[in-house]
Amino acid sequence: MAIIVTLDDRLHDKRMTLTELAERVDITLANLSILKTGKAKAIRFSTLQSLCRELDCQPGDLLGYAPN
Amino acid sequence: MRSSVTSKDPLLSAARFVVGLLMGLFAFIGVIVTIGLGAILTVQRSEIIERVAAANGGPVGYPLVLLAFVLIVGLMALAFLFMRELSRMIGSVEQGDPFQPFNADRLRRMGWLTVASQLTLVGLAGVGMAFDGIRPALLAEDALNAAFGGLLLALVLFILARVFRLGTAMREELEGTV
Repeated sequence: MAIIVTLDDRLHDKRMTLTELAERVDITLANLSILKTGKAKAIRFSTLQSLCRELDCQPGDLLGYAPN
Repeated sequence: MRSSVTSKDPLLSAARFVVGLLMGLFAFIGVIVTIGLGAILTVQRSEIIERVAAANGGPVGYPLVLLAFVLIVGLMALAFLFMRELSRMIGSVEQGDPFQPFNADRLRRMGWLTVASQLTLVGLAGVGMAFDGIRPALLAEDALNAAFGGLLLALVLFILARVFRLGTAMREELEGTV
C-alpha cells in the first residue's frame, strides 16, 4: 500500500498505548488496530481530527506516502 | 444485535412458511408427475395411445403427452430450485447480513431460473396447441402474457443482483473505513 500510517511512531513519541488512545478518541481498539496495521481502506476526517488532537500532531505526521 | 431484530420479523417468518410450503408442493407435484411419466411409459402406454387416438391426437399425440409430462417435471424442478434460492436468501436476511456476494449470485441464478421456467411454459403451451380441440389463439395469448410477466421478473432479478453486488462492495469499503 502506498499510504503508510505512522500511528505507532506517534504513540511511541507520546508514550501512549493503543488502548489508551482508543479510550481518548472514542474509537474501538479493533478499528484503531486496523488503522495502525495499515489495513484500513479509508479514514474519516473526524477520526483524523481526534487523533491529531490527542497526539498533538498534524495529519501529515500520521500519514506518509511511499511510491510503489 | 441485527440478527435478534430481524429473526423476529413477521414478514420473514411468513415468507419462510410460504416458501417452505411451495417447495413442498412443487416437490410433491414433481414426484407425482414423474411417477405418472413412468406409468405412461410402461404399464399405461397402450391405454394412453388409445385415448390420444380417440381424442384426435394424431400420430404424434403420444410423444407430445410424454413431452408435456417431461416439461411439467422440468417446470416443477425449476420452481423448486427458485424457491430454494429464495429460502436461502430469507435465511441470510434473518441472520442480519444479506449484503454478501453469494446473495448477488443467488439473485442472478433466480433470474436465469425464471427465464428457463418461462421457456418451459412456452414449450408447454406449444404442446397444448399441437392437440386438437384447444383454441390456439387463446392459449398463445395466455402463454405470451405469462412469458412477458416472467421475463419482467427475470429482468428485475438481474438488476437486483447488480444492486446487491454494488451494495456488497460499498459495505466492504465502509467496513474498511476507520
